[in-house]
Amino acid sequence: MKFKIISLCFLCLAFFLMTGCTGILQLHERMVIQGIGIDLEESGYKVTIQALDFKNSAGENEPAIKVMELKGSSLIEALESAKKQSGLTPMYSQNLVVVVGKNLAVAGMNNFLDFFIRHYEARPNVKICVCDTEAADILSIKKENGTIQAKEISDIIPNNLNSDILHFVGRLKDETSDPYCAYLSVKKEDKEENKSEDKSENKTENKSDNNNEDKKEKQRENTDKEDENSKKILNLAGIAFFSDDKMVGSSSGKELLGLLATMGINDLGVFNINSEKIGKVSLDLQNVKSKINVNTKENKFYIDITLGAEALEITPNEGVRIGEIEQQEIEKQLNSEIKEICKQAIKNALNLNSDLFRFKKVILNYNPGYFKENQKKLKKSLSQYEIEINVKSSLSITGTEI
Amino acid sequence: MKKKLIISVPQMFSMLFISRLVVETTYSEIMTNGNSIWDHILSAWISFFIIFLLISPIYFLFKTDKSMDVLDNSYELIGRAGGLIAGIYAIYFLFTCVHTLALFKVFLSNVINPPVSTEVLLTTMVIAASYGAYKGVEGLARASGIILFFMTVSILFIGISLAGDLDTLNLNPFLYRGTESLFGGIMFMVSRSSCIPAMAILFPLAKGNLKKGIFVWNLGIYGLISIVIFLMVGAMGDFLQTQLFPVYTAASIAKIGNLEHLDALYLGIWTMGIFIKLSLFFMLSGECAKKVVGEKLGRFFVLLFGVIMIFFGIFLNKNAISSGVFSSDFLLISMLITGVLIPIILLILKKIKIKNNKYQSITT
Amino acid sequence: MINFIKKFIENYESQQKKENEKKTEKKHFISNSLTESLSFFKNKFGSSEDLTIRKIRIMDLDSAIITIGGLVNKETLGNNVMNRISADMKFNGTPIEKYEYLRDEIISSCDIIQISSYEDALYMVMSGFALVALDGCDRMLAIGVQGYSSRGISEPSSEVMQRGSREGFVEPLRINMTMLRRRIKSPTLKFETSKIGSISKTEICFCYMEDKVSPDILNKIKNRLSQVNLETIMAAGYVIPYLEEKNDLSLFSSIGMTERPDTVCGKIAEGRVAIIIDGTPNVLIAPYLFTEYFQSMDDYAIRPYFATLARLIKYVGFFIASLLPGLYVGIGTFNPELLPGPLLNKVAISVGTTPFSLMFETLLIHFFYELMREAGLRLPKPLGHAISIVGGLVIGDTAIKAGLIGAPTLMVVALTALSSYVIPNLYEPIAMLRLLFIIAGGIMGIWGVMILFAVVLVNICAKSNYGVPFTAPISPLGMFGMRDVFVRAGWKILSMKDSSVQYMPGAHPKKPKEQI
Repeated sequence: MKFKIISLCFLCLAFFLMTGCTGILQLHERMVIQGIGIDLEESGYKVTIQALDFKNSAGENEPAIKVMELKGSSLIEALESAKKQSGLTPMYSQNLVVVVGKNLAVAGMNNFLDFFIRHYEARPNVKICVCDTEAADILSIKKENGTIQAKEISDIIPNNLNSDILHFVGRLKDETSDPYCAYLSVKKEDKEENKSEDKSENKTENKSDNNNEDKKEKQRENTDKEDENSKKILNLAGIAFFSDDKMVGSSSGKELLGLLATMGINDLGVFNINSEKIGKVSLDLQNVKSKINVNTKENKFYIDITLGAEALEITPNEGVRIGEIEQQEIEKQLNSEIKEICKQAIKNALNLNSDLFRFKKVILNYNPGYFKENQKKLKKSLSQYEIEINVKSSLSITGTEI
Repeated sequence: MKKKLIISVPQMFSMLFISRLVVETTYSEIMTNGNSIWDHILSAWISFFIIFLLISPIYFLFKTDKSMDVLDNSYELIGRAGGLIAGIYAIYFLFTCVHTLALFKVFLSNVINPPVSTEVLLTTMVIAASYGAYKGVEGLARASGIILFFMTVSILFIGISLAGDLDTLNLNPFLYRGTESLFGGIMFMVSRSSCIPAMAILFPLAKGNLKKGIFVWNLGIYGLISIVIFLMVGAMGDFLQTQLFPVYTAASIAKIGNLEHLDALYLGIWTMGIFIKLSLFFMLSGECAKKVVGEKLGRFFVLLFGVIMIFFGIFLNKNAISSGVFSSDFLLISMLITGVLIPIILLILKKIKIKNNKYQSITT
Repeated sequence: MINFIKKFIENYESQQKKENEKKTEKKHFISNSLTESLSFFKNKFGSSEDLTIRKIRIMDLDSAIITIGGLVNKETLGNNVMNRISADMKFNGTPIEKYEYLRDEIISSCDIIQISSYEDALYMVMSGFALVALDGCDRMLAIGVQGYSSRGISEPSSEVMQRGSREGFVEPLRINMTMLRRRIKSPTLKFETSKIGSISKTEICFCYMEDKVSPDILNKIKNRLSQVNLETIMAAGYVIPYLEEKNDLSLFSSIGMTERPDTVCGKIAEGRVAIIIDGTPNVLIAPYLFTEYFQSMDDYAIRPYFATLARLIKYVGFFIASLLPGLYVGIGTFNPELLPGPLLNKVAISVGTTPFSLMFETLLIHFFYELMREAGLRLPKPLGHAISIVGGLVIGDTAIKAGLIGAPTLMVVALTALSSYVIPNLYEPIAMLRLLFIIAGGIMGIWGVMILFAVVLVNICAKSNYGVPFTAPISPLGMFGMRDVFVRAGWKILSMKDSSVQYMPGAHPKKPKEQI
């Protein structure tokens, strides 16, 4: 009885010493960060964050978006300086997207990635992308109903592209592959000058080109002075690929399709075939599967790609009826065109020392001893490997024609 | 002294399974100082067989007299010196509690960093565990059955969602980075088998088929470890190298439809698992202490053990979890002493005693 | 402070001693002299108006008929006793022989009890019996002529069933016994009566099936009730603590309570013991398991698939009712990263625009809700509508518009309240658990909630009453027992095996085979 009373008194006392009664940080005292944009500057990092403002609602039960520009010698220093500006403690667990400026991507991703791996609030499934300008431009795009939301930026990047911290870091840490991520570009609708990358070419980047940076700085200043009513459209231009942690190029258009098909990423989008015999056919490419094998003795990679193609729009030549023979012709042409595109895309990537396709992993799985012996030389010697691509597509035609 | 059979074998192994799972779900390359977590699948299956060998002395000792645990046997065979054995076991179980608490602290401070003070959380956990220990093995065993069900469902949930993200290219050939990981993994898994000394005390309290229970428990543990490693490596690849608690990370990325942020599920289940393990080993250390000093004084020792746990929990350096007394070497030695060496010595002495008794009964 | 605690303990212990002494009361035997007997009654009742003493002469002996006005049926008394006794009745013999002649030949009531002590006489007269005392006789006759008014049999309001019977227990014990007997026409159904309460001397009745009950459990129940040291027993709840294990600090009770005779019959057919208490329609059932709180008679009257769905809803409702507010407070305050984005926005706006913290807001709304609930229970029915309007407008609409509380918090509390009504028998433990979880969540976040959940789980699992684990057959797991836990199996499966409570997994009372 005595013991019970004493322990009850002790518990009551302990109750009031619980630190949860004091020093609790309420939700509205936290800055919920939804998007982080990182750019490299001479003095360090320029970080643009998009956060939710709970005190000023955009509508009923919808928070407003607040964009802040922060600077610091390291990423975390820049991010934590947000507290000094706003008085709110940043919360990173709701972050949806990390946008990396091109300069920083070229300089090296390892410089800042550690924060997203190490921090206890950072989630590995946050999407990551590189943009063709500064990340600050992306996160502060003005739309009709306000600033672009980080969710919209995140939604532009498809899930099956695996362009998130988990896959990026996984590939970075993996000695047998190189990372890639989504590549975004900003277009102005009513301007002649097209700010997006040329969709039919790959470009190599010169990371030590300071003149480029100065030019871009001037360009930004000019664009700031331009008509504010000009619409900026953000779109997914392609993918940026890396050699180790440094961005070496980007792909878009058909090259992008080739890369994605080789990597076995689904939803390749629409592919147009212009057949002299048949006409113009627009195909929706789906169900892409890719299998890569290697023969180390012959220094040859064998890539088998299977995909499904659905003909969405056919503009046949005059007098042509789409029958079984024509279907086979379309398939044949599709196979050969895909094959060529893939080959070109692979060659271009390998020439830039970027092993997006995990060829080294295939060699490791096939012949671990060989891999171990030649591990250091493999990266450079991959471009000398022969590539044999076998594409098999199954075409289905919608509509009433047989 | 006849012991009352108060729990069933499945209940006992539920408690031990949860105790083991708590350690295994905090498993990582960093903890094992390895460079290839994939090789730990082999480590798991080798450890599976090693554990059978290590349990044998306790099992055969139990078979000589099913009503006596290792402490009863020690008192019977070596008299008052059996108190020393009981003391060793009490210290070992207390040490296991401190290790578990330290693991909890590392998890909190490195991965979660909760706004609540870590010390307060640890103290609360110790107080809760002392209540669990006070309630006795019956209550713990029954609660374990229910918690095990929740654990299984949550692991299944996480596993199914990870299975959808599997990339077979992430799976490496075994041992291509050498055998360092393999042996490191075996060392890690075997050294953390604190359930084996616990079985030495719990066997006489359980009724049912022990052999089947041991087999299913062992298979369940190492089977689960293998599956977890397979899924983690397949879904996360080399991202695992950067994670101290990859299972937690796997739970945070797991997603089924609109159901995401499953790390909350993992947190809840793991917390309950820690509670069961702490309560069980706290109870065992208390029982051992009571054996040495008696019931009344034993209660004082139980209180003292609780204070020691809180003290270490608060003041232990969070980085000490894998070094010093918490290194795999020391854990292995302490486990072997309490789980293998002492039972073997007692078994030999018992066999000699039985033989002498037989001889005496024949001659008389 | 310490001296205060010491004094408190000393007072408590001396009180315990007094109560023990009260138990051992001496019995006073009836005197031969009628005058003495009558003066005993007059002394005991004093100026109380309800004692009626009718002096008559029976077979040339001074006699008296003692009744309590209002408790007896005067017509029955007249027909069975008064009319039977004639002033001209002659019998030669000693007073004892005359007494026996009266008992055996004259009085025509079926219910005649012979009393030899004044204590029994007092008890009988206050139970509605008429006492016949003869001068020169050291015994009295107690004749059953009860005629007090009682409530009619109606459906219990707290346990409404769609397809079950509409009968519920009433206050008189005998009527309740007949309701059980009508349903189980088996001679193995036994009723054993006893008295508890030093002043009220409330009659209780143990009901059990002789071939189903465990003698061990029955004896334990009787022993525990014999140790009841209360003065008055006004409700079944008075007795529950004595039926439970000592030092049982659990929120959940292992003694069930019901107002339905069909439920009681079902339970005693499973080897349980029902305790009917005179003066209250609530019948206690011992031992009672955790899973039985989620069972109702309707489950067995409807199709199994729907009964299973209803059962699952109850279990889900239980978890929602007890855990949801705590999790909401804990996650919203300490672990907002666990919330999905859209939900986080709503909660954050709500927290940001209200003056109180999440924990305080939740506790406040719960307090208002409990206030409303209590008011609704105590108010007369015509005013009940006013409560719903006040509650709905004040708490619901106005408080949100005034910005005092947030809509998500109110939604959580409303859902919690609704879920708790799915299992009305568990309302009290759920209400307490809810508060505890809110405080745990508000102090330590999801960790606090999980640690408390584990503690509560161990508390429930460690509980056993009369050797039967409270959480059987979930844990210890009994596969056959699970046929009526989360699912309600069909009757073919339900009737396959003996489902007596003492055979539950982990139960310590031995099976008959083991006893041999």
